[in-house]
Amino acid sequence: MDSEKRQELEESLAFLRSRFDELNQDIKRPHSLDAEVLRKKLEELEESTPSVHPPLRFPRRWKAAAGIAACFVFVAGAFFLAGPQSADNSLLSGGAAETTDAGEVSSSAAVGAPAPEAAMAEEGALMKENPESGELQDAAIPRMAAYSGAPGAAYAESYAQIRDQVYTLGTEPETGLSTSLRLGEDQAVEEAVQDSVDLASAGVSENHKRYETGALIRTDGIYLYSYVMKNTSSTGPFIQISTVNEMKEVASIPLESAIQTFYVYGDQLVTLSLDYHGIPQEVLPMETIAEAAPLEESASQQGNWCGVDGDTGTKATFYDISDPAQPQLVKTFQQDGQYLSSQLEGNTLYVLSRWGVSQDPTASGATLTELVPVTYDSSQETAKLLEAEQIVNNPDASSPLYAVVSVVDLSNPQIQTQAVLGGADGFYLTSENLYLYGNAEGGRTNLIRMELVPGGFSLAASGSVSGQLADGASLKEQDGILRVATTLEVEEGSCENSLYLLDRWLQPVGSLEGILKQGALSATCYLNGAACLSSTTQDGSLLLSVDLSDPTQPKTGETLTLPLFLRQLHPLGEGFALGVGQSVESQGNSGGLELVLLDLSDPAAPSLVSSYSFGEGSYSDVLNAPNRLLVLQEEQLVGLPILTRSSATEKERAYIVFSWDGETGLTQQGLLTQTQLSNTDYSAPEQAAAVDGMLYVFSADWLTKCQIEPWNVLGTAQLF
Amino acid sequence: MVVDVEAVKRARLGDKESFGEVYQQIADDLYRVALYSLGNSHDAQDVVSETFIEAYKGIKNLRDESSFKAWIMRILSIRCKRRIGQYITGRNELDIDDFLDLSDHRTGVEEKSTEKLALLNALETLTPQERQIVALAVVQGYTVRETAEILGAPQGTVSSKLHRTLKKLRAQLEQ
Repeated sequence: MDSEKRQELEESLAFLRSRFDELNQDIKRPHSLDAEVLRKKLEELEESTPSVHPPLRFPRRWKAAAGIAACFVFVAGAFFLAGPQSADNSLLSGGAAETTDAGEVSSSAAVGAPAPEAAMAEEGALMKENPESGELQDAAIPRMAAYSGAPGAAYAESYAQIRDQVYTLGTEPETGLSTSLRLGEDQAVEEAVQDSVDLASAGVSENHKRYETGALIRTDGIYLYSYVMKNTSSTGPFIQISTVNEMKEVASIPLESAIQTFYVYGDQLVTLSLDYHGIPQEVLPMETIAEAAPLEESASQQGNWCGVDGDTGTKATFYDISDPAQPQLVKTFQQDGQYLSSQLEGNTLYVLSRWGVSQDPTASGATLTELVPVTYDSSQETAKLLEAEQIVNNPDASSPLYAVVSVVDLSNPQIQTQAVLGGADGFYLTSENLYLYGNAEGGRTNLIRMELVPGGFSLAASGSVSGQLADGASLKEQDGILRVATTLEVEEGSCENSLYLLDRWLQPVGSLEGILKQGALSATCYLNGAACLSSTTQDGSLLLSVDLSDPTQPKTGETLTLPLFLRQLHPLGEGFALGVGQSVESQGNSGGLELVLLDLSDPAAPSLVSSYSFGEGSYSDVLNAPNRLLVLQEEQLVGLPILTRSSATEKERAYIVFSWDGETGLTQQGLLTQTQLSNTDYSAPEQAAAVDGMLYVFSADWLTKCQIEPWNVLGTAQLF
Repeated sequence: MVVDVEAVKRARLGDKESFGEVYQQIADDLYRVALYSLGNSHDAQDVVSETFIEAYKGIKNLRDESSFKAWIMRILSIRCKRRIGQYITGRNELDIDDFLDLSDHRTGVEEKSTEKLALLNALETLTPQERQIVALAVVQGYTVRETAEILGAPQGTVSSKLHRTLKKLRAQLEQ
C-alpha cells in the first residue's frame, strides 16, 4: 500500500475509533454467554447420551414394519477441483501450490475411464493416455476409477496421505493455508483477485449463492404431501398426506425434528434433516489414526492446529408409503456433514453435505472417525468409515473440509458414498454427469466431473476457471460441452465477466472474457443453444445473449438495457425467459419486486416483451429461493408467493399466478391472498403444486385448492 | 483485555475453571466482533457459544499459549463466515436494538445519540464480510497483519479492503 493510502487509512481509523468507542459502551454481552452458563451447557452436552441405535419410532396409527430398505447414502462431498498438485504431501511440507494467473483455465483430464471392475482387474501401473500429448504415462490406480488425476485431484491412496493433507490444511496460516499469492509479487493483481478470497473462504460466493429452500408441498398426482413446521399452535413438525381431490387428510407422519426437505418417489418418502446428535458412539469404529497410519518418528508438528466445525451430520429417514393411510418408518441413514443440497432425478437421489475436521489428526488418541467421514445405516450393526479410495484428495484444498456426496438408487439398495477433501458449494446434475463446483483461492472456481456409472459414480475430470459462478444456474451441459459463466471483481465497481465452454476433460474449447464490463454477473440462463447473461449496474441491468451454436466461436449479440436490478432468469420455453428482480427506484436490495418477460429467441437481438411491478416495498421469497417459483411450461403459467405494501405498515401476502404470451406479455391469471385464509401470519401462501389444472397452495396452516382457468378458489383444508 | 497465559496453560491441561477464566477475559471481545459481523444478537450469541465449545474441545491442541487470543478469534471468524454464508444475498440489516442500551426506559431509541444511529446506519451499508474486517481492525484494534491472520486472508487483500471499507464509512458519516 502506498504512503498516501496508508495515511488515509490511519486517518480513517482515528476518525472511526472514537465513534465506535461510544457505540461499544452500549453493547452488553448477554448473560447467556457467561462462562458459567456456557460451561453448564457444555457439561450437558457431554453428559447427554446420543440416542441408542435410534429406535424406529412409529406413530400410534402405524404398525411395526420391516420396510424395504432403500439405500440412501449421503455423500456430500465437497469437491475441490484441483489445480496444480503440490509435489510433496508429507507432514513436514507446507503451503499449497501457486494458483494460476487470473484468466487461465486449468484442467486435469481423465482418460476415458474403464469400468471400475476392469480397473481393479488390471495389474501393475495403469498406462493412461495424456489427452494433450497422446503419450502414455503411468498413473496411480485409485480403486474407484481409472482416473489419472495428475496433476490434480485423485483418489487417496492411504489414510496416511489424508492425515498429512488434513494436518497441513488445519495449521496456522503461515504454515498451512495457501500462500499462493506472495506479497510483493504483482501486488495490484493480488489485491484485485483476492477480494474474492474472502468470499471463497466463507464457503459461498455472494455472487453465485442460490439459496436452497426445501419443499413444503409435493404431489404424486394422487396425494398431496405437506410439511407442517412446529409452531406454538401446531403439534408439528409433521408431514400430512391428503387426497388431491378433496384435500382430505389420510395420514400424518410425525417428525423428530425440523427437516431440510423431503422427496416422494413411488412408494417411498424420504426426509432430509440436520442431525445434531450424531452417529451413536457404540456403532463407531474405534481404530485410531495412529494405528491405521503410524506417524514417522522424525515428523515434527509445527504451528497451531485450528479445525473447523465437524459436529453436524445429515440424516435421511425413509418411509414406506405404499399404503398412504399407514406410512411406515423403514430406517434412517446418517452421514457426517452439514446438509448442503440434494436433488432427485428419476429414481436416484443425490445428496451433498459438508463436514469439517475439528480434531488435530496428529493428536494422541485421535480416531479415524475424526479424520474421515462416517456413514451409518440403521439397518446395519456398525457405522462405516469411508475408505481412502473413496476419498478424492485435492492437494490444493484450502481447509480441512470434506464434501460428501451420496448417490442412492431408490429402486434397489445400492448406495455409493464418496468424499472430496477440500470444499464444494453445490452440484449440477445431468443425465450422465455430476459436476461439483466450489470457490477456490485466487477468485477461481474449481470444477470436478463425476461420471455417473451403473451403481454409482466415478471421478472423471477436474479443472478450474477464473471467477466465481454468477448464480446457481451458471452451469449448463449441452452436447458434451459444459458452459460456465463466471464473474470476478478486478477493482471496485469493475468486474471481469466470462463465459467458458469446456469439453468433457474440462478443457476449454471456447471462451468469451471481459463481457458486460459494468457490474458483476447477477443472472444467467441457457436456452435454445444460447447463453443469456445479465450484469447489474448502479442504474439497472444489462442483458447479453451469446450464440453458442458453435462452441468454439461464441458470438455475442446486442446488449439490452433493463430498468430493474435483475436477480434471476428462468427459462420458460419457446425462447422466452422470466426475469425476477427489484426496482431501480430504491438503492440496493430494498427496491420493490419486478418481473419481466424476455424474448431471447434471437440471440442477436434479445428484447423486453413486458414487465410487471408490484410496487414499493414489495417482495417475494423467490428472490432468495428460486425454487419457490412455479413454472408450468405447457400451460404457459408461472406462480409465486408475494408480499405487497399499501403503506409503510400495511402489507399483504398472497400467491399470484400469471399467464405469459409472446405477444401480450405477462397477464395476471389469479390471486390468493392471505386474508382470504385467516388473519394470522401463519397463513401466508408460500408454495404451490399443480395437478390437472388445479393449483394447491400451501400456507403453514392451510391448503387451498384453486382452479387455474378460469381462476376460482374452490376450497380450503386446515393443516392444524 | 489481556489474557492470562498461565491460565491458558492450565486450561490446556484440562482445568475447566481456568478455561472459564480465560474465556471470561475475552468474551466481550468475541461477542462484539460477532455482533458487528452478523448484525444481530441472536446469531452472535450462537456463534460465540459455538466458539466456546470448539475452543474448549480444541485447546489441548494449542501449542503456543500466548497466541490463545488470536487462535480463539480465528475460530470465531470461521464460525462467523459460515453463518454469513447462510445469509441471503444482500442481507446487510443490523438489528439496531442489539447495539443500543435500552435499559434506560426514560429515553427511546429516537432520543439516542444521533451519532450512534448514524454510525449504525452507515454500518448497514456494509456487507457482513466488510463489517467483520471493521470489527477486527477498528473496534478491536488489531493491526492489518493480525486481522489478516485471523481471517486467513492475505495481508494485501485485507489492507485494501479495509481501506475501501473505511473510506465508504467515512463518506456516509461525513454527509
